[in-house]
Amino acid sequence: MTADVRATPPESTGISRAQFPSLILGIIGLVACAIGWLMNAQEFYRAWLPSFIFWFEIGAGALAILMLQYVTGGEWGLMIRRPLGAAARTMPLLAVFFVPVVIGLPKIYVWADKAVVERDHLLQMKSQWLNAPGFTIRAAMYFALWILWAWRLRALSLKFYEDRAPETELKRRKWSAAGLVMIVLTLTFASIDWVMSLEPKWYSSMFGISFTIGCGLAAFAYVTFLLTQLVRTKAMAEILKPSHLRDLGNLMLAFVMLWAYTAFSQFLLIWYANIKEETPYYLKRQYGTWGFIAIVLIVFHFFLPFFMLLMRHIKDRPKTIAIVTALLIAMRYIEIYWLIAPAHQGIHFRFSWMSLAALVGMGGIWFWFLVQQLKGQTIIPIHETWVDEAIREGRLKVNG
Amino acid sequence: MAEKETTPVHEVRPTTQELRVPARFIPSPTIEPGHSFATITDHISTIVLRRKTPIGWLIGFLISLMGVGILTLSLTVLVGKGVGIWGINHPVGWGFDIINFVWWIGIGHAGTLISAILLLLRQEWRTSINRFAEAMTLFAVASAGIYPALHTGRPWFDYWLFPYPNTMGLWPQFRSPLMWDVFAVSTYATVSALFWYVGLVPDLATLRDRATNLWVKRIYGMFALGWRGSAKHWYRYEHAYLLLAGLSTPLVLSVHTIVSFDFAVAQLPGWHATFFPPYFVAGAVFAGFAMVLTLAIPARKFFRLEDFITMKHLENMGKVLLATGMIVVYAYAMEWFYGIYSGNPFEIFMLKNRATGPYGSMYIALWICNGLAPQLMWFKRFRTSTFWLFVVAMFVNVGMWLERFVIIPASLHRDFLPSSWGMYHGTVWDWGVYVGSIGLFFALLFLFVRLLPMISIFEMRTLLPEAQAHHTEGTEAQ
Amino acid sequence: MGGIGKPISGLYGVIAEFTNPQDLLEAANKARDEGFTEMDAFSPFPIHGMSEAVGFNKTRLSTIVLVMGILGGLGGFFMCWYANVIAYPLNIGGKPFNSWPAWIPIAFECAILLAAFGAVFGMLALNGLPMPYHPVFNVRRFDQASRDKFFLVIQARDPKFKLDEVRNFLDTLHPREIVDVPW
Repeated sequence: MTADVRATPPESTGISRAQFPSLILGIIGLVACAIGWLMNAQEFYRAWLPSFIFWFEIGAGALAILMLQYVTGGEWGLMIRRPLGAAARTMPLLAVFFVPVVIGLPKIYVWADKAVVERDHLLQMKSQWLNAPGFTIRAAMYFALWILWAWRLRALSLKFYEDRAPETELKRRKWSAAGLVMIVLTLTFASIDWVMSLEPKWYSSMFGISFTIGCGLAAFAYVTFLLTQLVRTKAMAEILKPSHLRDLGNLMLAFVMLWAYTAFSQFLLIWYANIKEETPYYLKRQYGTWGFIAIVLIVFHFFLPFFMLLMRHIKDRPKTIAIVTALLIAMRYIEIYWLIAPAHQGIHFRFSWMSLAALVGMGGIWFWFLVQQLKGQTIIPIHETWVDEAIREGRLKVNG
Repeated sequence: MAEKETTPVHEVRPTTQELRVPARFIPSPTIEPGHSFATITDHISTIVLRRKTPIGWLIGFLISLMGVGILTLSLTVLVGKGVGIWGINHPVGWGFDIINFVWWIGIGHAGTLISAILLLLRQEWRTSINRFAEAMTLFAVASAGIYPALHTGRPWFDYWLFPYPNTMGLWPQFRSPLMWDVFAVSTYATVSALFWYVGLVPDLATLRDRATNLWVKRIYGMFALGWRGSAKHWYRYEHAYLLLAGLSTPLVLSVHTIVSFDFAVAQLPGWHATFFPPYFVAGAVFAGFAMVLTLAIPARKFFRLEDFITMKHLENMGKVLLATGMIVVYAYAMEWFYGIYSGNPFEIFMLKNRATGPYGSMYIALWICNGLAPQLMWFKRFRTSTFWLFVVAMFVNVGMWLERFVIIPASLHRDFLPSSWGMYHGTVWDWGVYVGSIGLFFALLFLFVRLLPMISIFEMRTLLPEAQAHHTEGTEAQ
Repeated sequence: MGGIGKPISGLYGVIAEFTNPQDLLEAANKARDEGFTEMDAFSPFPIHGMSEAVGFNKTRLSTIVLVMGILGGLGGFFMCWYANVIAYPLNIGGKPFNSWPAWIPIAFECAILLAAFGAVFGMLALNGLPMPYHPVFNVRRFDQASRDKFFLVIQARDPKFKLDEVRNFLDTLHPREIVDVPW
């Protein structure tokens, strides 16, 4: 006889067994980063940024999707609320990871280099927005808001567990609705500050939207991948149904299409208008290895996952959908690198070992922190009224 | 695990625990209680099959026909004299024709959104409004189609827009966004019509079976294609319907995206913005839901459909209005941010001129209509009041027209050289075509509610609890 | 596909009328358990599990739509390319003859258009519609099938079909009425 799955803590899913190795891996990665920093500080800072953005996307996207889930309340969120909430609560750690970006500001962002700005009229005009104190204060504000919301939602969820009052649920929904407005705005400005301003003369009003959708896609891929790994354990295997994975697969399909939509629209409009402030951005990214990566993105970030996610027998099976999510997670990193690195390297492609070290270092610590957040609560939000409903109506099977 | 015992999170409460839920948290139903398959069928089909035409319908239809008369007159003069009778001239070459085209196409988008996207999202409340909204889509597209067809100047050559091998050896120029429009709008019209018709077939069979007049029976029977409700047919039918929904969703996004390309591919400040595609799509859905509310609130009262179009529907539409309104506000605000951030003097001039130039008052009115008015929808009190919903919807209808005015003539009228500056005002013929197209839209809608069931009967039947059949043990299907 | 079959001595089958979807579904399941294969159920709305009960649960519609969509997309792209690169090349704004980003919107629209045609006309063709005449329309009360009544027909071409046995079998399902369906 097995324990009631509704009372299954994540410990019994075996996820905590991966926690310690992950921490060790993270420390090794960060030590390597430190060595890299000693060798070449500029290379280190520039390598750190894309890896940071990659992990940041998952955390920020998780917060956004969690709030979307609280507002709309579809059944697709049944399995993913807890993993999303845990990922959203990695924000303080991500804020710590952001510190090297602030320290290395003049080495990463050309507008923070006083010598360059002095010679450039346009950059002087733009320095009203693009300046180091403003950048730092804004970043602190963004993180403060994200952390506030992540913990507020957790507090309301715990309160709802205690009192089960519809008022609490309503309050959580209201916070989430306001939070969606907040997160779209903050992600827009964060993407402008952190990524778009790498090429300070270039601008595209689609960029913030595109970035936000990228965050959502990364978070969906993360949470679906996590589920497919958890399903190997007995605790999850009995409640996770193919239809849950199919719903998540469909949502991922929608995000893949939205990603392609924003990316293509932005490209087409810039290609077509052919204005000299805008076009060099893409010219650089079409050249040599960058151009090859662009084709890789078209094929593996859109066409392949698109056709795979159209097929029901791929969406329904944990093993096959895990492949799609892994592909998408990898493509997120490649796209981020393709967006960021040409700003520093121009047309010459280079991949520093420090990028990899930063990716592994941050990832190891991040995963360890994530499992910490998942602990101490069930992996399924058992206290939600609609979970009860789902069990009663037989939509959610409980063993026994 | 012992140390964790103090935390309550692993405790399992009995699932049958009584929850005392205050009345205001009990969701309102998508169909009022007390209905059966028969009453739903009879109530909705009688509106169509009754012999006596209500006097209110006749009055409304006649007023709409007057609009059609104005349209006919305006178009006759237009074809006879040319587009010079409109207010367009250098530097404003696009005026009411494009404003109204975009306005109408945008209104159409809510229909497809309700029927396709909400179906995919399994939102049951769409069921009683999808038919009506789809009809609205078709008629809005018909009204929209008038403008691009006539603004070409020589509408008798419009067939040149289609690619066909011809003796002139000419081919259309596919780099032009106006060619993309031709394909987008005609595909949209075709697929919307198919979607609508496929949804109608089972209901046409109902009308065929319920009609008493032989000729009425024959006509409905012809369009019902011999539908007999076979289980095998239903299976493929539902499959096709879902596939169509899946196809319509990207289609509807693409249509307004391509409309936005008309502007955004240009280099003109105020037009060239890469976020135009999602901004236009959100604006279209916003405008469309406002129009659905504008039509549904009086219609449900007039035809006594309160049982089927409940407060839940209206409230949800209010929520969609708020959500899309927020996206539109995001666009208005970000236009300022990116304009200033760009450091481009032409962008900054355009923004200043937009707010304080000759058309500044329209820009302020636009913010009031689209920015402020929908904020009322944050409050349940306003979302559940038909009066306030109608007021907000009217504000949005006006606001979305103003938005297109602000984008089109207000961006064009200040050219790069002050010597090329000008002003734009619609002439009486501009207004004539506009009022006429509204008349056409309403005339078609009036015909629709008289001749076809305005609520999907067969889908309403599935909302009843007794429509759910369950497998009994021993007869597991395989 | 339409499932009319060959006339057997002027009889299409035997039809039973039920008053609710639950009874119809159970009846169809029992009839399948009994070994009948040529049957059909009629209802005023789609009933979940009904098509499986009458022994039918797959359709090629998705494949048709996918193939049509791909053909439409490739066709639309080829049309633009052929017209503006091969047949009538024009220099517009210094853009290359093969302005492939500009072909994408039209290729997309063509893909959707053909896929939608595939869905609608594919569904009608597979269903054998339009079909103005069908034997079940001869049943006097069949017009209720589009209102609130539910019908199960066992066709005469079923290998197990024996008129008396079928009538007796249907009678055990407690229908409202049992009627022979003539051609």
